[in-house]
Amino acid sequence: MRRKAAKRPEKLTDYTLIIFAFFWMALIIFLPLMSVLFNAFKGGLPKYLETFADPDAMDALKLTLLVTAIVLPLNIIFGIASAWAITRFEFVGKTILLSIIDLPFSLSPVISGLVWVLMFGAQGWFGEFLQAHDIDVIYALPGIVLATLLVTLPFVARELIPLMDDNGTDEEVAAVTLGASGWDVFFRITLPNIKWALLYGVLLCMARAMGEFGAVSVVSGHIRGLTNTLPLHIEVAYNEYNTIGAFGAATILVGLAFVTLAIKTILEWRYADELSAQHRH
Amino acid sequence: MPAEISKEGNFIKPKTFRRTRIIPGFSISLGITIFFVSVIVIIPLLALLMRPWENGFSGFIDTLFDKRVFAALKISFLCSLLAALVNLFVGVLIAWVLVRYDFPGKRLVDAFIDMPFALPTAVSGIALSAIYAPNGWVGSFFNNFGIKIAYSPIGIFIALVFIGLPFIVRSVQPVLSELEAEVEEAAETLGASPLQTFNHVILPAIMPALLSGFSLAFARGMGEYGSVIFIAGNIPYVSEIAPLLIVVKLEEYDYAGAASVGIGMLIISFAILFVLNLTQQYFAKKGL
Amino acid sequence: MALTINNLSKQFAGFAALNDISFSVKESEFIALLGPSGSGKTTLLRMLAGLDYPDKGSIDFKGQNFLSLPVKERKIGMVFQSYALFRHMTVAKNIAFGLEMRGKNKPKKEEINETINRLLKLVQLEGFEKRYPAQLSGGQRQRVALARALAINPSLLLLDEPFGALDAMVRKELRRWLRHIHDETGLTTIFVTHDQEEALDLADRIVLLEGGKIAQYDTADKIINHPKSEFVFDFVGSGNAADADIKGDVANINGCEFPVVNLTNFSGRQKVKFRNYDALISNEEKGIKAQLTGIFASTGFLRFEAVDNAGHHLEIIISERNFDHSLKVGDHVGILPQKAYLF
Repeated sequence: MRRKAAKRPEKLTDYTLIIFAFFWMALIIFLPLMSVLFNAFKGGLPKYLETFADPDAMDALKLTLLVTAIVLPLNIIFGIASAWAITRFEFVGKTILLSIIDLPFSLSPVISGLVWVLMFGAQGWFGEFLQAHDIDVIYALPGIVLATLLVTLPFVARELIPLMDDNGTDEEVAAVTLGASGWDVFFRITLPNIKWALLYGVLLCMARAMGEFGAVSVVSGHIRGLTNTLPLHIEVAYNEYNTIGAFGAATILVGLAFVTLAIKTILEWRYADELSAQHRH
Repeated sequence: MPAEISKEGNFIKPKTFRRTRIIPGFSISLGITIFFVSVIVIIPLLALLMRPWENGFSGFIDTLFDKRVFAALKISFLCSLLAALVNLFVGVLIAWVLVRYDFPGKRLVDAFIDMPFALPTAVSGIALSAIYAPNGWVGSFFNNFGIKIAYSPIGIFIALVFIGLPFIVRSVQPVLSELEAEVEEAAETLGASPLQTFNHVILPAIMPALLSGFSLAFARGMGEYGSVIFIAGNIPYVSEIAPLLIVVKLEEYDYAGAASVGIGMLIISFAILFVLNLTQQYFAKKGL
Repeated sequence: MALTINNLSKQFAGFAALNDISFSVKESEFIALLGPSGSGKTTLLRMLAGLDYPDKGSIDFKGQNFLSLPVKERKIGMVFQSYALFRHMTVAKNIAFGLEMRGKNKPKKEEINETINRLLKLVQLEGFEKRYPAQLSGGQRQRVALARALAINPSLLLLDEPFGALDAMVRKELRRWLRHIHDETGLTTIFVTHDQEEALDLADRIVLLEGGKIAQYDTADKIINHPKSEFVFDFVGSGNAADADIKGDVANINGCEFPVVNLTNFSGRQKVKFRNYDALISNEEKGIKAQLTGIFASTGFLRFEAVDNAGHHLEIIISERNFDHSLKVGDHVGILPQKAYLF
């Protein structure tokens, strides 16, 4: 099947369309990015650098990294386990399981936070029990981790499932006939075939975990130096009219977004065949 | 044919033979999956579904139709709908430009489409509100004409246009680039103008993808929080979105109220996705 | 007997994929599992490999109860229809994989290299060890898959539609070559195919399956010349049908008498079948009265199409040497079967 090749613009309509696309992207996407930089450096470089001397900002960054470091491995385990179960075996309820895995994508972040308050908040299901035993979940690290987990749960699984489905089980079955054990099959056959898709999923998962705002905002309690993640710190600073502090901290996350997009684009270019089909350009 | 060797081979044998599946790891992988899904998704959502009823069904209805809550749901719904509609046109246009034209900077534009996905919502929120505030780069321009963008529903709409763009572009783009050239050429040989070709040949082909992108953007808009609250101004009855009301109710320790709003939002989101599903089935019947 | 299969049965969602299959295979024999799709041939092969299990029955291989052994302990060499090469490994790594999996009994590096080189030579792919599967042609991949299966020194070689994904030219060439490899290694080999020509050409004996049952298990010669059922007759070649008067082993159509393999011992007017090459065409008013509707030349033979008085189509093939050049399209002729079957 032949596809229409991209062509150089020739007619006036061609140019109009392209210019409109550029204009829209500038208005909607480039301009906000510019404004982050502009506002962060409004007071000059020294003022900007003070952001990084602010202990609250640094505590927020540390907490963000800690949460990400806890959530990522759990997501990798879940992503691989669920993709393995779903693509390698037949069982009752698979379609339902798939929809449940996708469910967090269609939840409002605020709801993803709310459910944990309803479970572990003062008046939640386990509220009294937790209070009696002096365990903090809400307004503490466990709540932030749980909320982030709920928001990011589908990321790795969603990359692996379509790819492993496409790849089929032929290679794994062949390895078994050649005497490979379960671990050998996974580490020598499956993992090399999905490694780039796994990285892709981990990348998206990481970006979301570090940047999650709504869900974490509901469960964190905004306690400075303790439960403020970087996005929450930005909110606090912004609401206190500390513009440079807010945008300065935001530059860290903008940087993260750029790195994410760059790696993502490289993966889509270089390893297109080893990603799930929807990311092949 | 891979399918022949694939899943059908993994089955439980009758007891007379050794019980094994060809590919190992069924119990452990399914066990981990079900554990995570239960603890992280199912049980928390049950907590949500069971909460609003402590004041009876009427308590739930009263919360949803409370003037402020209803106004917020309406604002969220209308702004998301409008933003998704605008993105419908702009998204197709940008996807078209990216697929059909070669021009300098194309790769960059393509990569930047995903920026709203990659950028943390709090950052988008403060950045948008800085630009569209009355003293911001764009906001001051409109302010001259007495149009207030930030701290009004227009601000909510702008934020949701930003958030929704990648959904439409990324749904349509692959379908557009997979279109068979010959179908379009056939339309041309039959005397169709470019616009006619687009309307009668291309548009029907991308319609299912377009609809799915539209409803994803719409549903995302309903629940969006971070990028909206900074620009919205959060004035009750005017520019207060539904997710914010959940936060407000939680701050008042009104768990049942918060859960009711949450369920109200879920009902609207799932209604959107359900309608989409029906339309897609309609298109599927026509073989698209 | 190397391999004995007894009463193998399997139900798939209500229909019998295999129905009471029993046969045995001699050491070093080359066996084809032949049949249309859905006949159960692939299921049978997968059971031998240990990738599928029967509801009842037994598989005995050289005294081992195969059904009690999991795949990896059966020491079978399996060549998959899709080849299932490990795409991220080089040809050499693919071939070595089975040896690398031996754990403590893993051979020394030199031994593995020696095996790789020996097998690459056998499959005529010397110099390809560093290539990846994506860099090989279909036929080359097929040969790598075979080398990989042979590397574990299997006692039984199983091939699923080994030539299915190849184009006609490569198919024929690889077919002869596979037979040659079999003869060289002396491995008991079983392969699945839906192509009767391939099975007849290649195998010592053919298990012809129909709807999960064995229709016939015989040598190619027996299957061609002594089909046990109409299904077998139809499956391995084309033929014509005609009504004839049967008396014992002799059939008579309109004064043309010819021998009939009478499997039913019926007599009187019966429908018989004959091969398109088991008939002559004459100008006499004998045999099946028909009108020629087409004459098509081919290398070495001519193919005639005709319609009999009842409107049935007939096809006759006659060697160029015996061709009567006076025949033209539209002629009324008598078709004289030389040998027929009554099922």
